[in-house]
Amino acid sequence: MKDAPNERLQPIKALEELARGLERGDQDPSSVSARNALEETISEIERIMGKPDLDYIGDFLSAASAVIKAKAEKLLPPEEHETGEIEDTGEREEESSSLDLEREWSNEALLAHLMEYRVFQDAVEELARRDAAWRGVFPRGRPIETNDDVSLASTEIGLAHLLSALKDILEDAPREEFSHVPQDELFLERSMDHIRSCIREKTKVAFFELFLRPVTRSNVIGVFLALLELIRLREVVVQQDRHFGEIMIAFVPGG
Amino acid sequence: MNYTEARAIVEALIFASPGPISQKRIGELMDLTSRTIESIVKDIQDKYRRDKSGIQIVFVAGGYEMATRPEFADYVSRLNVEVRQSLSRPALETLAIIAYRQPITRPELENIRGVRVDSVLNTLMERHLIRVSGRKKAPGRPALYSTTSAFLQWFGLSSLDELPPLAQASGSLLGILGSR
Repeated sequence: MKDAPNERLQPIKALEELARGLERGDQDPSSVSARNALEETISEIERIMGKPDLDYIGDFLSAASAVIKAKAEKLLPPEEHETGEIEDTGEREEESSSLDLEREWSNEALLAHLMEYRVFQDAVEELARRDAAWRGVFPRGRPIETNDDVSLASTEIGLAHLLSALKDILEDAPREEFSHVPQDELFLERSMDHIRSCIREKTKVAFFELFLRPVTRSNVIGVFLALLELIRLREVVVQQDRHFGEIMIAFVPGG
Repeated sequence: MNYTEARAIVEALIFASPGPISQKRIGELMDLTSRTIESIVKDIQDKYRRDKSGIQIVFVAGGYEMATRPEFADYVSRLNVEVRQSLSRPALETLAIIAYRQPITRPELENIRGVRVDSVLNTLMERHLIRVSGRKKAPGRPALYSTTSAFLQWFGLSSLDELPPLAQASGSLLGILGSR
């Protein structure tokens, strides 16, 4: 700002002084309007637009941005140890009290959470004790370890077989002029209930028996989707006792 | 049939049953009351204890089944019998919450545990310890989870009633709250 006259430097000096005051904490940040600082900056730029002095404009912008930066930094949430030291204006108090309210609510929620969580910890200890105690007990006939290999294998292998069996059933179903599978969940749930009741009646049910007579293509697809959903939910397993044997559907053991 | 014969038949039925067999079912098969069956089973259990047998009759998931005694676990496991893995702490916590709050949705579980439980739920489903027992009548119709009979067998519980009541656990919490 080599050529700038002293009176022209006054706004810059004032802004620099303001920024230093904010940084030192002498100046209350809530008393400094960032909007005013911006408006003054704009009006100053407009004032000198006719006779631009890049050094002056640069210094002014630098001082103004220092004020805005200092205010922004001071408005960041205070460190916990500073909480009691802040003397606020109304705006600040409102901000602070809303923070306190939030903290109060969080404490309440945290306490409720802690209470419920703590209640379950005793149950967890009991389960852990039983888990360890019963680990060395081998029941006869049925391993307590789940039949992951059986169910996974039957699901994976069965899927190809299921699709093949589905194809056979679809071939038998008459072609429909207009065919659609209702997408609503109720339709799916009804079909799932139908499969469950079929299994309940016989313990195991053959795949082809799931499809209601007269067979329609939309019904076949709907029941098949329901079967896939039950497999996904691990409610049922698809089994085949021997190669090329009947595909049977049963509830997951212990389910 | 005389008592000795009845006791032998009960023992045979429990031995041959592929899973826990209830007093009622044994009673139906033998035309005896559940109370009589209970008394006979107790007699067999006492006999096994007296003989220091390696076998015991346990009452799990609402029925009787034969099992080895835990003190011989080291030897039994040498038979390449699948030894089940212990459940992780997160799995136990999730199971405990499901056991007491069932049926319960995944968001409700996550709200209590404060962490996501997708992976734990999958593990528990794979082990058949929990199942989807329905869908909540709420937006999105989230799945409701419940424990299975395999859960009871895993922990040697005859029923869920055998779990300690939560009220006892909350007593110790009052101390924590009182100290605040």
